[in-house]
Amino acid sequence: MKVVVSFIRTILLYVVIIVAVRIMGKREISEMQTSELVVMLLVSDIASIPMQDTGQPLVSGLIPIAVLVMCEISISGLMLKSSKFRRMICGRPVIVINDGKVQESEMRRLRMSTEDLSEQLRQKNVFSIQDVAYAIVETNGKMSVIKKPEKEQPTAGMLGVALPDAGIEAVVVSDGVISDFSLGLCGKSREWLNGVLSAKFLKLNEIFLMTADSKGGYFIVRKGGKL
Amino acid sequence: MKRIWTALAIFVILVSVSAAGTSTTRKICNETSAAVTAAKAAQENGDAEKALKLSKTAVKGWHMSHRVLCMYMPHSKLESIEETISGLPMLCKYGAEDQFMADCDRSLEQLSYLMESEEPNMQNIF
Repeated sequence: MKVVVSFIRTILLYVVIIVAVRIMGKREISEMQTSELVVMLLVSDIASIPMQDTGQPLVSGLIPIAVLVMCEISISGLMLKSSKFRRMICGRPVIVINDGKVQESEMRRLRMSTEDLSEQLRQKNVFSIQDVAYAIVETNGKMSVIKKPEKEQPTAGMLGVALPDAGIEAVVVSDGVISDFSLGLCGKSREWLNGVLSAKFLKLNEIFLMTADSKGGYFIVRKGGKL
Repeated sequence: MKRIWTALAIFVILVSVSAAGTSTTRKICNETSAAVTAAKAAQENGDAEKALKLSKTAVKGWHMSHRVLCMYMPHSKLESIEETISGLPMLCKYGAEDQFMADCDRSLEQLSYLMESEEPNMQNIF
């Protein structure tokens, strides 16, 4: 019967964690502040205790999780209101390459070695430090790089080339189910969709994936992998 | 602003649940301690019948409270008290006065510890 208790508790705690993460807001792990990542790890660790030990009451996991969620959303709300508070919690971005010059003191402050710097630059597709005008280590630890103008890749605007604007593309049909939200994003309607399908002699339940853009372009993948 | 209100709502719920838990624990511990103390006093006065009745009351009351306490207290703590208190009626019934008194003291000590461990004081926090 302990197995059944564990099973039910795991489901309950899973729902609680999903709700907690939802309340705390959407962010990728790579974009989280350090404190947010620590809180997420704590929540998962705390949730595992009553999951594994049925002798511990469920509340012994729920209350700490609720407290962490409450602290996290309070702090994130206060950080939005006060830049001073934000600076206190998250710190400020550090410029490690300023106007092409490597800032040794800033790197030492971050305990960043030259190997770390080179690695982060390579991850940004920069293979020579000489190409960099500014390199900034953000508060979440990621590096932002601004190349010297002569090392930047030319854009269509710089070359005077007019590229067609396809607008936004979204998945409007997924496994036979229409997404009205995506249709709205592309500025299309169900009537347009039905018209396209009729012209192609296709039924909705034959579609695995259909994307559309705001210019009226579309791409269909039928079930079975046929285009 | 919505986030602050959400945090505030969670805070209110947490404080309410914590306060309810602490006050319930205190109430149950006091009631059970009173019953056990009364049973011990009756035994000391030589009234074994009354001591038996009071110890049975204490056991019954604890069994009912156990269901509530289980929801927010480690079960191992409650089980040890359960073991001590459950033996009191039989000890009283079969005249094991010394053991009965010792187990009364033991259960009172366990209840006192349970109540103290749930108090939000400096010793428990640190």
